Amino acid sequence: MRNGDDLEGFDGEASSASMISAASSPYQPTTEPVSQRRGLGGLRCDLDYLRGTFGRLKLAEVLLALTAFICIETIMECSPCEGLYFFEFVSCSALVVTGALLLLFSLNLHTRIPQINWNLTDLVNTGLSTFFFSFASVVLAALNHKTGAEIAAVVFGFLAMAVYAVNTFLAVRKWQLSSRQQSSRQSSDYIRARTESREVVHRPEIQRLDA
Amino acid sequence: MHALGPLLLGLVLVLGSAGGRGDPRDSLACSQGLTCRLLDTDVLCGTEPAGPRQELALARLRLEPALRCTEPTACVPCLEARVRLALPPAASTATGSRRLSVQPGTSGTEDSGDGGQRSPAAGASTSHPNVTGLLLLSGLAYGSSRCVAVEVWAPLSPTLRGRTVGWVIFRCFEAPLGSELHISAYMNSRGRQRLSQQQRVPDCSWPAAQAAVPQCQVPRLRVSPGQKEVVVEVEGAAVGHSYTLWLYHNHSHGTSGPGRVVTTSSPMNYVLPADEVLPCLCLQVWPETRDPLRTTLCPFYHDAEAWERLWAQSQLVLHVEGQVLTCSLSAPCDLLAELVPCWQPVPSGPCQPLPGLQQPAGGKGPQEFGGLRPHPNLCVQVWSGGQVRLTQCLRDRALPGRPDDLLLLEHGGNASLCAVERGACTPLASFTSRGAGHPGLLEQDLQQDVAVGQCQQLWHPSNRTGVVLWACPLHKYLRTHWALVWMGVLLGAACLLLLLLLKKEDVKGWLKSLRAGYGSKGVLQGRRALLLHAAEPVAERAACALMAALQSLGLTVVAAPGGGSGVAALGPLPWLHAQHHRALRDSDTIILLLSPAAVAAAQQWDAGARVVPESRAAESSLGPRQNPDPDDVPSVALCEVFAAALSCAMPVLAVANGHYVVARLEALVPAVPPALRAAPAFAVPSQMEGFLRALAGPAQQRGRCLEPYVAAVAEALQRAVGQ
Repeated sequence: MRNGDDLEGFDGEASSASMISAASSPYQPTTEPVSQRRGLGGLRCDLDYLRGTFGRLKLAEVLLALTAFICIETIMECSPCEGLYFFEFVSCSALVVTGALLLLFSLNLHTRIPQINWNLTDLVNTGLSTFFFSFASVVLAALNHKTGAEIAAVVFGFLAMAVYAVNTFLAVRKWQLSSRQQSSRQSSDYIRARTESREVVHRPEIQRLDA
Repeated sequence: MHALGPLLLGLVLVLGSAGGRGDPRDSLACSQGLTCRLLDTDVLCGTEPAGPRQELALARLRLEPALRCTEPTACVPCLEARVRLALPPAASTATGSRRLSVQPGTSGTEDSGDGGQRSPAAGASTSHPNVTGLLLLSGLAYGSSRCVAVEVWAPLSPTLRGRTVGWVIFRCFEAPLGSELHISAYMNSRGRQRLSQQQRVPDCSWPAAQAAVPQCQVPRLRVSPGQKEVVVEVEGAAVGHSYTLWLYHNHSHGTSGPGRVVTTSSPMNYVLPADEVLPCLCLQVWPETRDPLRTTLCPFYHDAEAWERLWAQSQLVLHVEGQVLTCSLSAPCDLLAELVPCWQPVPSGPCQPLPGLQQPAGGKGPQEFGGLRPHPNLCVQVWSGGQVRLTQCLRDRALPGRPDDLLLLEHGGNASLCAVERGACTPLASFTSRGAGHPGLLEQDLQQDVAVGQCQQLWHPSNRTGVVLWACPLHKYLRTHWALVWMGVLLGAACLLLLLLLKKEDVKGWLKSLRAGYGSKGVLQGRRALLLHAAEPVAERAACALMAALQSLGLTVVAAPGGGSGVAALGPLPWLHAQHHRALRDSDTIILLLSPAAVAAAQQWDAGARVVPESRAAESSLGPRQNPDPDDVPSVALCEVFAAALSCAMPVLAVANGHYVVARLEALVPAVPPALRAAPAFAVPSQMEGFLRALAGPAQQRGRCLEPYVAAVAEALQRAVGQ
């Protein structure tokens, strides 16, 4: 069921006036409003997302993970090397996955794949990254703390952990909000359909068919 | 002394005649005042008769070198014995005075003076009584001995008492060149007085011998070096004598090999190619005589090119047996070199010599490099004249240790470690691996490794204060960059996933086409068939099932539609005829599905009889004989389509031009009508395999793939017919 907001953004291409009946009618226009703005190959950049909180947080996460990765890659010799390898793995994976999610959200590609719950995916990613970054940074700080590159990697690791933690917190809050909203919307749709079906009974054309 | 010889010979009075056996060339001479006679030149000393009491005394024995010549150039060196005889003093005083008793000849200046003066005076007094004696001279050489007996008379005059009587000169005693000759002289009188002297027979260094003795005439060698060859000139060979030139390598473990021997008798030039010239190449030449003297010349010892050639021909071989390294340096000549171990971390890089570990190279066989343990990075260099001549490495052998190990040097005194790299030993506090990174990062770890024993000790010093070498593994401190590979994998997976999710429909279509494409490669791919069936329910069901099954095998099937009765049944006839004609034209297979109504229609053509109710009734297995059953009428009416189709088929069947296949529903039709027996008939579903094979046609290779489908098609048909 669409409310009037959708009708306002609509250019009137594919719906005819005859289909628009009273607001309480079950026959609502079912056509999608077609957008005029076209990007490269159908892709357009969602600047609102990038300017918003989550976009900025994601950018910060990607940059911090990248910096930490570069710092750890410049180290040539280590004793022991296990902490280094673990931190490397964590920062590399976080970088790629967060970067992919950033790309998806900023280009609005997530709408094209409705089968996956992208918000949940984002939440899981940030949660895991927070945990792993904290663990890896602690391990690295404990084992390797002699050279400048190692110390820099630890610092960036902790910073990334902090940003991921903030992101997790906000994502959890958003998820809780959206689940509450969804349940309330579902119940209101049901009520509306029920009241409208009762009204339909008094329609003359329907009565004629029964005869 | 030498001047006296010819003087005495000039004053000889009596020439001794050669008597008895012995060399006829032996000669005897006495000075004036003495008379002597050579009794025998080869007596057995000691067998002479004893004479009276000492009358003549021996004063002196002298030996002189001389030459005995048969020809002017064929002389033999020998020793001449000169004995000086003296009369002892008067008988009364003879016992007392021993003045002129045994005196081995020392300096003969006074004696020669006496002897020279006495001789003329002695010749005057012949009236005095004589004193005789037997002088025996024995010559002892290595391997030969000779005794000569000489009889001497001397006049007894009181003036001669106590003075020299004269000289007896015996010529000569022979012996080989340069050998020792022991000559003794004694008289046979009772008081045995014996003089002996030992002297060396002259050798070829005596100028008189060089010209006269043939053995001393050795050819001379002259070597003239050139760019590509060396010319050896042999000159001065004695005429008539041949000589031998011998080229050989002279080194400490004997002269090697037979060398090269050239024998010729005229002066000649021998040409030696330059690449055979080595520093130890020596030349020897000698004449072909008995016990010849040889001239040896080693002219190439200081030739730099010869040394270069020698190094090019020498070889260093390393053997590893367990923990012991053995080196063997083989060369044609003796080498003065040192074996120095060196460390080479990079195969193509420089090898850093390890000082203090060198060993002189011993020429005799393989030598053990004690104290050094093998490691893949170790090499052995041969140093000579301040430069490296040969190098041999252990890199290609299976040895414990890794090529990226680090060499640590521990000074025995203060136990401080330093890393050997790039020509210097850097202390661990400022050591960086790979040239970059934090200096001194690995100091503690490496020290711990050495203490724990993780490092391999390469050098065990013989004394406590020497250096110790350790090879420490470094690979566990150098990190690998597999994270970059992991990043690539993640990115690739992310891209792939994104692509799949965005282009869902395309992917699905592609997958479907894959599946359809696989299915379309069915066993009956590319063949077309026309399925003719009667318009009765069971036939239609069977036709539908068969069509679906055959289409799934890739066969393109067109079935004649049924339905309706009367004129409605005839509706599709033009289309049917068109299909039939097209099938015949394109050589498609035409399947005649025989159901009861179809059999009834086919029986119209039996034996050429057309529309004979009786015969029809008689041959039909359904319905009674006599009367055309009303039940038959609907069957005939329904089969008009089939009958109409058969009207096209019959003439073709008769000529056997088309590809007709008859499929009989065996549950309903017991036998194929005679009219259709010209075509191959199969009872379906039991003979489904044969039926499908007939549909597949002459393509033999498809036949093998039919088995899995036979059961499926038969089951589909069974289900359709059974319903």
